[in-house]
Amino acid sequence: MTALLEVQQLNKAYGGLQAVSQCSFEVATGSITALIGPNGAGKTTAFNIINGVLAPDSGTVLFDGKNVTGLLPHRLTRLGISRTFQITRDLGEMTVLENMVVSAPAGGVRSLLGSKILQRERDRALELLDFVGIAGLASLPAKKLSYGQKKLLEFASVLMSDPKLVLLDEPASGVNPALMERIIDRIRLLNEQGITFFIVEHNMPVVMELSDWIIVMAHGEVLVSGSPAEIQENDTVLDAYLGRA
Amino acid sequence: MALLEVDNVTAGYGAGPDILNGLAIEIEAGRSHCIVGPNGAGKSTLLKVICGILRPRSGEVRFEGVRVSGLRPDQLLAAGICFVPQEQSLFSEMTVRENLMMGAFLVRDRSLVAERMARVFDMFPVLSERSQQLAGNLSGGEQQMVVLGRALMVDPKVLMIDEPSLGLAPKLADQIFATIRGFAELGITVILVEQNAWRGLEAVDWGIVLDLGAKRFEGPAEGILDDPRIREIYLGSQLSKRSEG
Repeated sequence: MTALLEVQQLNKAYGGLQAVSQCSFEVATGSITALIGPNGAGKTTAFNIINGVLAPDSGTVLFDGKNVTGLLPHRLTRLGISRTFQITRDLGEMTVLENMVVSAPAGGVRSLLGSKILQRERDRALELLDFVGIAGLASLPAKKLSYGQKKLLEFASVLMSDPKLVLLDEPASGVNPALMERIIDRIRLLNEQGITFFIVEHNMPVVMELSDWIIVMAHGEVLVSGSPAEIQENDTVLDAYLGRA
Repeated sequence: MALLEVDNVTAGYGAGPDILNGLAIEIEAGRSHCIVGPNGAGKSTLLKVICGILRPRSGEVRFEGVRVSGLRPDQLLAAGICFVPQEQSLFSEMTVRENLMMGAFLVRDRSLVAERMARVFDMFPVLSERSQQLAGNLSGGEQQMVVLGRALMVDPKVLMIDEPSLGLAPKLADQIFATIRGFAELGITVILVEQNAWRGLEAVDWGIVLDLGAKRFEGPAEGILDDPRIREIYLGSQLSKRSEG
């Protein structure tokens, strides 16, 4: 199995606090890989370095073998990495369809000024909205959607750029079990079609059900990685969660 | 009869999903309790329901046998239920003494206020030295002492503390946990919520384990983490599906 994403020796400090320390791991091509760890482990910092929101103090992020460290999020999207946010973000006054198109304008950001949605963009957007089950809401202003529907919109919109790697930030947070089932099911389908997923998530049942590889961080470092069964049996991981250092 | 009864409470935020799902717990007078459980278990939400910040969707909270859910936070404070939230809650432009005085806002008797102030300075000698300094200029650990000292000025029957060790260095956290043990010795009924289950349970008599908004089990604090259910609760249940495949 080759690595689609490779993180090497990442370091990041905030003031005196070393949030991420000598952090190295890989996300295998075609995998659903989860990053877990107790609060304050450095997961979000590592995630934000990978998705271009933060620059590391040192270390390298390789995507498809290319050095992408420090590239801005929109550049990463062009290369095939797209992400969702823990708290859903949408452009409330725009329609659901417009939200979809804005997230990956076919003619680049500049084409948005023309305010004309191309037919192929519309077709692709509707196809993806249908895929997550909210095609019927395409012409509604995004602010009219429920929290769950916004979560689905966001999930659909990251697919507009035809990513190879999707980064999901807490897809289960604030989501009811029925909706979670639907999201899990969609992630599986996309994964079967070849999309690799890298997920930061607190909800253990979801992590264990969905992922085929798990990386555990604690105190800014990678503690251990392994299959869900291995992680569940690992005493060091349990102790990290309980604070039993 | 328990001092405080949480009876079949369901609660959540806005239009979001239920965070507490028919939660039932009893808090005994004079005992100190630590609520533990993984992220999203509903620990902080429980405290918000008890102190009146969040109204339950169903079920009720009884204090000394009387239904109190539906009362405002200030009414509950007057009744003796004090909540120390996770978020920074000091008046940073006021002195340490002024901040402490705010805890006795409802007390008319000046000699009683002086008595309580003396008790706080007895417990936190450093606050006596810094009483004329602005609270905002204190270190993180000292600020946490002011917050706890202010709660002590209330002389509550029930003191609820949400994640007091958050963001504190281990040594300072030790001091805070020692203080919490001191509260219990003063006869105050303590309800502590801690992400760091190990250290939180060390500071109290009784542990209550939540998961997915319901109580899983409870017992004397020292045996809680040795219970085999803890692994499953923190790291997810064993995956029958996956082990078959």
